[in-house]
Amino acid sequence: MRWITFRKRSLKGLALISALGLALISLPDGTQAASAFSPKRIKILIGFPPAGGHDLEARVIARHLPKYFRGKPSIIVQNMPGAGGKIMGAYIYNRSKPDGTTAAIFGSSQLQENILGAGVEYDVRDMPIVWAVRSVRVGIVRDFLKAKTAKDLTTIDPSKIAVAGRSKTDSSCVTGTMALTLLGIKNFKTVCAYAGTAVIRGAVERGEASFFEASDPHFLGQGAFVELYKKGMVVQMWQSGQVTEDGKIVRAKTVNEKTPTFQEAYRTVHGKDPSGPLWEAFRKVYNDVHSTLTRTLVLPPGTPGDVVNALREGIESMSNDPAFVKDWEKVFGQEFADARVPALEAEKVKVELMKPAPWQDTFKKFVGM
Amino acid sequence: MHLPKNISTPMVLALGGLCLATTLGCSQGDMSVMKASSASVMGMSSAKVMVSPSPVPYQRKVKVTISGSGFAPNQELELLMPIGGVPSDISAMVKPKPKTDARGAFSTVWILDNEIRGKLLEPAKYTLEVTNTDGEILAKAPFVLEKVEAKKK
Repeated sequence: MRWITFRKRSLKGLALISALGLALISLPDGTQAASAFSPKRIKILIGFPPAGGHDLEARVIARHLPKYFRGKPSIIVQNMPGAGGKIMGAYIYNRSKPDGTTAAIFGSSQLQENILGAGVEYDVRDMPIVWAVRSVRVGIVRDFLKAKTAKDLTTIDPSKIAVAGRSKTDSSCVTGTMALTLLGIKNFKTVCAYAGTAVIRGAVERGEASFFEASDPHFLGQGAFVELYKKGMVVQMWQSGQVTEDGKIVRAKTVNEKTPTFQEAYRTVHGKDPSGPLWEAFRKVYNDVHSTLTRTLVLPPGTPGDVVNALREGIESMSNDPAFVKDWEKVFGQEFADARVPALEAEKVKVELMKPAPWQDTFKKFVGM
Repeated sequence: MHLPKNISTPMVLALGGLCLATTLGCSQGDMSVMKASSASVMGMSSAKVMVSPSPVPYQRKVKVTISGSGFAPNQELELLMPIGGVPSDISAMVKPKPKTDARGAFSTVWILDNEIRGKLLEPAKYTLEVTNTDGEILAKAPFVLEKVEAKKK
């Protein structure tokens, strides 16, 4: 009897503790995450210098994420520039503790480098995605090339075209080179060793680089090319556009509505729709790799599933917070709802892209891997 | 708002009130002061950090020397500054990497460029914190960015 009373009291106590616990994890203002994951601090690593897209993304997340974890951890941003993000990529993959206290913003270039087998010291397949945003790619040229359209670009001295990028295998150098090749332009230059977009912006301003494959956030909000675009120093040639549910590529509303999609630009040059293996590879790389998975927040390999889920839940809650959405939209100048890719959807896209397929062979051959 | 655990509620209210009374709102720099205050509550070691020049001219490509002494020998350090309203570890952007020598001293150079171009730092008083790799604050120093007056022609 005594034991039963004790048990009853214990059970009541347990029920009370559980109720309090549940109350703590489900406060209406979302200030507690539904998990025991409560780190003192979380570092977000960036592979580029401050003020680029990756950096701004990390800082917006860092401003809002703490309140979604018990103890409100400090979110510290660490820029680790060098080798087009490869140094940071190797660091988080090989040296960071897989305990949820370190995450990294990976760009689509990191995924692309894994597809290419570019000798990088990380493998995105092992790195869980907890956040992802898409963007629209935009091919831009300097005004001094005097090209307003893709057709104009095919008529100028190609040696004046200098494609800028962070490395031989980064998004701008690869997609820029593919796009120009598809248009039939040869003998252009490539300068693929800049430390990041913020540095490339300087090179474009100085006229050292005259072509860059940017993304739409670079022209919006606090984006790197806003000022140069407003001054008319850079001209938008084409955009990746958005893929509709039935697979058509249409102009995206986040880009100047007069900027044609690459297919439209191709038609003005060749008088027909693009086709063939190089086009298929370009479409996969341009629209899926670089548009759908523009920036992802990834964790080191081996991070326990409950920690991954806790981070995904915290980030999910943050993504529904009007204050976060307002801040994000102020920085990037576009609607968050258009850009956001749920973590699990991003994982699916990543897995699909990493599966061996014929387009990858064409792609590797083109890049010379 | 990030507050260290060892700041008491009255202290928070007092500091918060001070911020409100003096600046009509706490900036990131103020937050760092509050954080640093907590370090002094904990009792700091003899470790010191210095920023040179001070104030730092608010201009692109300015070279800032960050040096320190009184730390443990051969210790890896982290340098934290609020950049863009967010605590930021600048250790991978300074050269050489902040690590103390056999006598517990270090010196490194930070070239500010995109932080200023991107307006992630403004002319203001910030606090530079030196921590160990576990995030414990070991030393702090004011980091004052001062606007440079344009030369009259």
